[in-house]
Amino acid sequence: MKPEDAPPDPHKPVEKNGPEFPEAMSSIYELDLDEASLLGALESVDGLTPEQLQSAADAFLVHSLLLHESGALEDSTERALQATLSALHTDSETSSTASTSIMARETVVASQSHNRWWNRSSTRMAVAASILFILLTFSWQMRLPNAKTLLAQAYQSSLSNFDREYHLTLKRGELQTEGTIIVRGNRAFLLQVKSIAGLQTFGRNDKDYWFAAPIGPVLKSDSRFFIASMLHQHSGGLPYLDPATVIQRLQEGYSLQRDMIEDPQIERTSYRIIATNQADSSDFLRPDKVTLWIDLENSRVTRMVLERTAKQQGTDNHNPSIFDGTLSIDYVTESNLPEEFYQAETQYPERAILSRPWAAESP
Amino acid sequence: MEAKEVFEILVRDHASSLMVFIRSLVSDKSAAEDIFQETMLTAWKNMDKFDRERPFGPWLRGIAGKTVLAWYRQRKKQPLLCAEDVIEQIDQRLGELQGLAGDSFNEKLEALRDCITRLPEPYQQTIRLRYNQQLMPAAIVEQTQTTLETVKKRLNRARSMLLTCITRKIQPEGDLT
Repeated sequence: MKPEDAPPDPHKPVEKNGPEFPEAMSSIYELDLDEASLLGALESVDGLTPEQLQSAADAFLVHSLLLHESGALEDSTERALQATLSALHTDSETSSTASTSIMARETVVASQSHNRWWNRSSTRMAVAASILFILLTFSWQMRLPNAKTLLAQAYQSSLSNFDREYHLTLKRGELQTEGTIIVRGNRAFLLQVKSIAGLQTFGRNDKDYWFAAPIGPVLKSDSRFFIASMLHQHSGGLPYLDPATVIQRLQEGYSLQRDMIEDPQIERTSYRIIATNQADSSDFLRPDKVTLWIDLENSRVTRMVLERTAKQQGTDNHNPSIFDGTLSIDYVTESNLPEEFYQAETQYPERAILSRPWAAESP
Repeated sequence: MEAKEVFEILVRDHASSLMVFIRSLVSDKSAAEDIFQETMLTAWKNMDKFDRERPFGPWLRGIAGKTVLAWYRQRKKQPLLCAEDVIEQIDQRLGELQGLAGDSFNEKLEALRDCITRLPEPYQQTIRLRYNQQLMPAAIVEQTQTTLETVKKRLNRARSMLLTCITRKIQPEGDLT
């Protein structure tokens, strides 16, 4: 919607045939919108310019929005909705008539023998109230949850003790870096990045961080700066970002939109949330836009696409979760791995392991 | 979750915005309800044609627009110039409204509520009498001691100001429906 140049001055007298209300349009504005229909009104007006058509359409749309806002459309919408759902359910029942025919016959017999019972008005009202209650309960269950609820559910799911594997793809212009990350909530991860030299592996468990180059000893430290430095040097720009951390960041300072959509990744219907950063754009930790797909069966995040344009970075530019470009995080599988899986000793039993407490001083 | 359950959730989620769309084009309440039902049932029958990677709202409004035109042609038995353009514009406007903050259509209309409170008093009063109290213009004349022409002009100007106000609140992105 393009902003208009200036709001109309409400105190300015409106001339019927003045420049703001050309003659052709005046007949539309003279109508009581509740009794006229837009298409009917257009029929009686010849030679409207595109701007006048636009203006007429806007007037009817605002009228309709105001009717909705005042609750005047509520009954109408509910009636049409219930009729639609009823038609849908009838369609289901018709398609399964064969399997339920005995039940249907029994219902007919039962209803015939209870005619007198049904005719009592108090009973009828009680039954009607029960049906209404069931309908309301049902309708509550069948509504699309709001985005914050969906995010909260996805966050809880991402903190589970299962080990989830995601495929990572970072695109920066023509450059593309790929990797795999296995995460357990936001406590442990194993990130592997393909490079020309070979596989670079980064790990974290409850105790420490570690890094294994394609050859040589495994380096280990309890400092976050150590892993930040290793990622900066060896990951080809891929950050360490688990879904739980991303979702946590989205809960503040992002405008959220949600809908229900087919997720091509899992070929099932999913919730999709589009989060747009509303907070300080210079905060380099925050992606500009994050799109995530959540499996509606189990609230598991099946896909995330994070978009972040290069920003002026501060002193923390070695933060392990910083990236530039478009990062896709695609769910691969879920398993239940042993706790030791995230330890350097388990992954590289044949290699020497060097602890590097000094790394904290030289990120 | 079965396809019908998914469809039902989508139907509920889009019911209000669909009715607003239809009532923008058709003032007859019963006809609007019929068109609503026909739109939804057509959508259900054609779910296999719906690209499920695309948002549901615009697709639904596309069906509704065709249903409105068919209904209109059936009644008037003559083609209506520009009708497609007008329908497309209302569809586009409603798509843009989805860029407003909030999950549901009702929440998105918080912007409209705020805009109403910003109207100058005579216009705000006229809008409230017309919509909240559902008074027709002739009844508003009695309440406000003005003329019918003034009431109609106030209503039109107020709608125009509301549209301008909402337009300013709409963000450039985020059409999901």
